Amino acid sequence: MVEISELDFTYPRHGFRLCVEQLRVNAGEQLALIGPSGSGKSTLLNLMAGIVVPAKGTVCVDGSDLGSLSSSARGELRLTTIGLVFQSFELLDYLTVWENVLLPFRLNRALKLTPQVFELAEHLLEELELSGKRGRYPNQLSQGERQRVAIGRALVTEPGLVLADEPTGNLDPLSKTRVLDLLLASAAKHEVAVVVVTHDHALLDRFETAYEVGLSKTGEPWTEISKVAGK
Amino acid sequence: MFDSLYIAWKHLCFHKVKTLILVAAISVTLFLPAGVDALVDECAQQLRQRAAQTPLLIGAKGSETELVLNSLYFESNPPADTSMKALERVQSSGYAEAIPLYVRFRAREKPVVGTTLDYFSFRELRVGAGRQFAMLGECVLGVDAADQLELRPGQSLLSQSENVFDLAGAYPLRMNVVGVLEPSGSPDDSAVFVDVKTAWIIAGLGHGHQDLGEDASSDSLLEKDGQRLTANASVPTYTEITSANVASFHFHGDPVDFPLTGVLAVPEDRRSRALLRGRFQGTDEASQIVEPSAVMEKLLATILRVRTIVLVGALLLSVATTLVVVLVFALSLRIRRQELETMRKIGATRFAVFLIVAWEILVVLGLSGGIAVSLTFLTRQLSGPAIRWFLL
Repeated sequence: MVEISELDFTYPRHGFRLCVEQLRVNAGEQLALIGPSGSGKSTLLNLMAGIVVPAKGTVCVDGSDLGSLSSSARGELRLTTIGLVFQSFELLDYLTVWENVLLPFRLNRALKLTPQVFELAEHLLEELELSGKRGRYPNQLSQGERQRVAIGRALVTEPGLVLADEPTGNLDPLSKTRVLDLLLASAAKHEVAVVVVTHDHALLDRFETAYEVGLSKTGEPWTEISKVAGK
Repeated sequence: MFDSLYIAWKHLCFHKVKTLILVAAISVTLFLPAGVDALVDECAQQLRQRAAQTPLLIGAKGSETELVLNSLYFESNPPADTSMKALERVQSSGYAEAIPLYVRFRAREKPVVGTTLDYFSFRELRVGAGRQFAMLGECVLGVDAADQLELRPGQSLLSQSENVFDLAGAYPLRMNVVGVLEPSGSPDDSAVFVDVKTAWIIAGLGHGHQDLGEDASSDSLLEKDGQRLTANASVPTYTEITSANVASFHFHGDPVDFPLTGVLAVPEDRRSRALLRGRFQGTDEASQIVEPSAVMEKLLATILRVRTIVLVGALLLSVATTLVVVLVFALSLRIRRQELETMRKIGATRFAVFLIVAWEILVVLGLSGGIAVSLTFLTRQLSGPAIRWFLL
């Protein structure tokens, strides 16, 4: 699903550099990225999403080299192939739960609202235990419920990959595991690959694979990733 | 396109108060110049119309504006009095029909217009209820005056003294309402019409009292010298003219000297008009003859200058409002930066995000424009009665 090779990405102004020799996320795989704040986990996620592109190396998603695509083509690919879940949910406060879930279909002509989409959205809300709250606005929901709406929004386009940036970072311990389990269960059910950024080691046992993003083992002044768990 | 509009509309609906304030502010800003323009246009049109319907006015020398406003709109301070001599001069010239106007008094704040029945023919005023005045002390009301004073034929109306401190002046006269005019859409609707002689009685130039020749009045009689009788203050003076006492009403003095505030002259043709004007244009002339439309144009020139000032003010207000609206949108975009960024991250194109914001601005401007146009339309529709109500 995702193939990264010889990646070298820098934020020159901040003196930040991220190097990834090889990283592969297979279809349906559930992968965690762990590491301290500022290590580059979110940057790696943004690279996978095509929000930023590397100066060197390649990031291929579903067979497309993101570096060779235009900004709008990357946006379209993101919309159709990738679901995004953010730490602070990023729901639109003026849309109801139902409207937030269906938001991707209103942002780009690449997606069309069809009866099947409504059916899937209905099904996802049921799965995420939000059926009774479809008419509520985000400010009428708990933090956990908001994140579940965000998960519904990420899955409604039937993507091949979900990228979640610290999806449990703003949740209490009880909601944390519940939301993550729901995300992983839904993703598994819909055969979606998931990459989750977290710095909570206690959650790693839920993933098939985990990579740590941190300082280079060779002592170089850049960030690298290394596998810490999984097959 | 539709999806962007949908999101924009949801945002505007969710932030109702902000949207309503913006729409109201922009609507008022757009409406103000158009509304003022409509009102001034209507005002000018009505003033011109009435003036154009009045060929010539003769009055005492003095303010032309006061003469015109008093004679046409029954407003402003009464001009200096002219007299019946002016009326007779017009009549004897043979150049025009002359209609007397004596507009000095008020009855419950409505102007009392002393004139003759010719005025009604000239203004094409018809009686809608009751009949025309036929006797001293009778009055006919304009339709608005009747409505506002809640009077109908058979009831009575008391005239006001010109000056409350004028203790030695005329007594108020109880006038009998005998008719109500049909609506005319002119200042006549708000007036109380009486025969000019009735107006002179209100002015104290004529009066009626008990006959001192009768026995019952002998206690009041102080001296009798042939035809000359002198009585004390106990002789009752009538404050209402009835069929029983109308014969006792009489005037003192030479009727040709009786006052008028104006004489409405209706010449037959342009030649008569020019000749009549010539008659009143001597340097030692105590009267003046004016063309109401010319006087009104001078007055309107002032009103139009005021309109320009108001429009400049409205323009400045528009600039200020535009700046505030731009600031509100700019601040709103700053607050929503994260939200718009999220849309971009999810997959919206830059154009789609731009379209959402553009729709919001367009919808607010569209609603405001619609309201402003509706208000302007309403103003144009209602300005006629409003101008008549407030100005005339």
